[in-house]
Amino acid sequence: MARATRSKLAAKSSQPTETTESTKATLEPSVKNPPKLFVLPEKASKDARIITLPNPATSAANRYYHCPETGIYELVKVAAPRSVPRSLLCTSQRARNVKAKDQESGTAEQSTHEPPPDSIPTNDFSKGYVTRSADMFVATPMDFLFFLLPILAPLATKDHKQMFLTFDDHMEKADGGINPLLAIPSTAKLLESRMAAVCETMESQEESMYKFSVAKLTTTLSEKAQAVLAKGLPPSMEEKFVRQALQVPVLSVKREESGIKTTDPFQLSTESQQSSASSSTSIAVDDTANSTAQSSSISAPEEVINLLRMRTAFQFILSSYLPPHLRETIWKYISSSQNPIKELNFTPLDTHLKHLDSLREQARALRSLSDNVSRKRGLDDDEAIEAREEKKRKKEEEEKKKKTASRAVKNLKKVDTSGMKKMSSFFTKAVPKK
Amino acid sequence: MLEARLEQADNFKKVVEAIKDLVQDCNFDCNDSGIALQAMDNSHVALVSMSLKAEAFSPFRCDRNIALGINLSSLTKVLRAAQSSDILTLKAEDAPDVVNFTFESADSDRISEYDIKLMDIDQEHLGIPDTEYGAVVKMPSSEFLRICRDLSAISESVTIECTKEGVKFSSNGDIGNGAVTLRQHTDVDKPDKNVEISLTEPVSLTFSLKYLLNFCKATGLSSSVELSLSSEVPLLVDYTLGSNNGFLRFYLAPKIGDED
Repeated sequence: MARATRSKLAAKSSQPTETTESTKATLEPSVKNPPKLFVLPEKASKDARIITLPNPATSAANRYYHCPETGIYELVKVAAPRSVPRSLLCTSQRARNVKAKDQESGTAEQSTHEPPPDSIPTNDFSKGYVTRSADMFVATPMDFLFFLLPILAPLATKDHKQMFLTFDDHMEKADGGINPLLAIPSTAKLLESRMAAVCETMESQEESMYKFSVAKLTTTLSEKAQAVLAKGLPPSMEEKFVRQALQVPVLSVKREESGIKTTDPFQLSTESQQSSASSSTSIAVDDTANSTAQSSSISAPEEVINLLRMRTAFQFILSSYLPPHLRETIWKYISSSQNPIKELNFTPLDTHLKHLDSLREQARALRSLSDNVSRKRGLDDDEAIEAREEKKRKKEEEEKKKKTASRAVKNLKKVDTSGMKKMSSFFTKAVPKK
Repeated sequence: MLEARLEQADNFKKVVEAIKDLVQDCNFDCNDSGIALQAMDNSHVALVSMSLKAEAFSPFRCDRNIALGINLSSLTKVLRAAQSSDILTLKAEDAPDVVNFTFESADSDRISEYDIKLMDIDQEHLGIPDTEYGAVVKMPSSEFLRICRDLSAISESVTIECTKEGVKFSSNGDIGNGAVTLRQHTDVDKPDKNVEISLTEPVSLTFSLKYLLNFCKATGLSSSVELSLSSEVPLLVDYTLGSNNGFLRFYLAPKIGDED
């Protein structure tokens, strides 16, 4: 699918550093604005452009790749994790062929490099190019639907009654961003069809009227999530959100069987990773996750595992592409009893996770029993320490006060005041005058 | 800015001396009408209310209402450095950290200066209503001191009984009992020795002698003292500061119920 590794910015940027093998290692200084590497769809037409649209989830301006024929693509940044710095060496197939030919013919004079063919500009990567950061921007197809959601269900009208409106009326509400795309007939048509997917429609005269429907949106999203599941979750997500979440603490099992209290605390340190997936569109490739050995068992029924996968996928879609207020609405809709979508009924999963939580809690309690030597004071009781210090300070202050009190005052304290009422029972508190 | 100059440091010294054994720290509330103070003892059964009017000072200047939270034993220590006849000047900024005391010797050119660090004191201010007392007894302050001192040898408490015959202070203790009765008395030559009793109804109340003795520390401030009593309300012991320049009043809750 990948067609080119041609930089969009290469033309603008100053001369890229070339690493020719012939000259001695005199490296040119790295350029300030290095070319970026894009992987663009092969099918995209010539009219495809990189455009700026508000991100549907965060409403911040983001770059998207739009092709009037094949739709819209989001640019996902694939970066090496910071702990594993990498660079990319870009060469072209042609350059490799040339080099191979050179070696075959024995003319190893690299200085007489053939001038590249006309079709390739002089500052291309045919001679090889090293980018310092291994960031790559991959255009992945995206549903126009998500751009429509902030328009169809804006935050202000969250609780208002939605009206049936024509497509044009709906689009009028959009404030910039997507509007220029409407000038392209094919895109406008595509947008309208996507709107129909999440709206109740009503035919009136020649035009169709649309009203946003949470139920339809949920169904659409559920289909998307199922499509994700059909291909399986990416291994890193599977590891982090499914396997770790369902891991059964080893200790509790042992304990039930034998009552032996020797434990391995490291087995228990897996916390629930149910926090929502990050909403940024950059995904760091972490290949260590893939190779992690399946160290402990998941003894959950298949149904629960699938539900968790479903929820993970669903959550990812929600947090990546939906505005926050809509996420709430959809979760509310799902958790309500009227939720008609069987796939999104997470009750069995919740019960199972709760069960696991209680197991973990037990395990933790037991662990703190077994190695309390090193863990006499938890790290999380800063407040308690503070409160203690405060108390101590107050006590000291009081002590100091006592010491400074004159003898007469001290003696007066010993006086028998039984049967004497306090002054405040005779005189009322005065309003402090300022 | 607060600046208050007192011709006789003695007056201020005596006021502080009279209060310091009752309360530890207190706020001196300064405003354009003078310096006032209200505080309770630790047990909250006695209350002291002091007022030094602006007229008592020459000159007196207070631009803004400020509360000077002072530890009274610290204040006593500083005031000990002043001689009775010294001219005392009290100074403080509008948002003060310290209060400054200057003592000028009247007959020599000696000037001494002290700063006392202030403290934040949380004190509840009680509103004291004007009360019509059943009995008001005016007597020489030295006489009151003597009665309290004598009777405290007998018991810890004294019953003050006001009738139209006179006022009777009586105590009942382990070693026996004792009573002092004062009748209305007018001495033309020495009006200080007068005993005046104005009575609207007979009153009999019991008080802690230790507290009354404590109040008597103010004896030096005024030649006469006024005791105001009504049943079920605190006793008021009022020392008028010379020529109507202010007052020092003590209130004490009566002992109710168990008589021992």
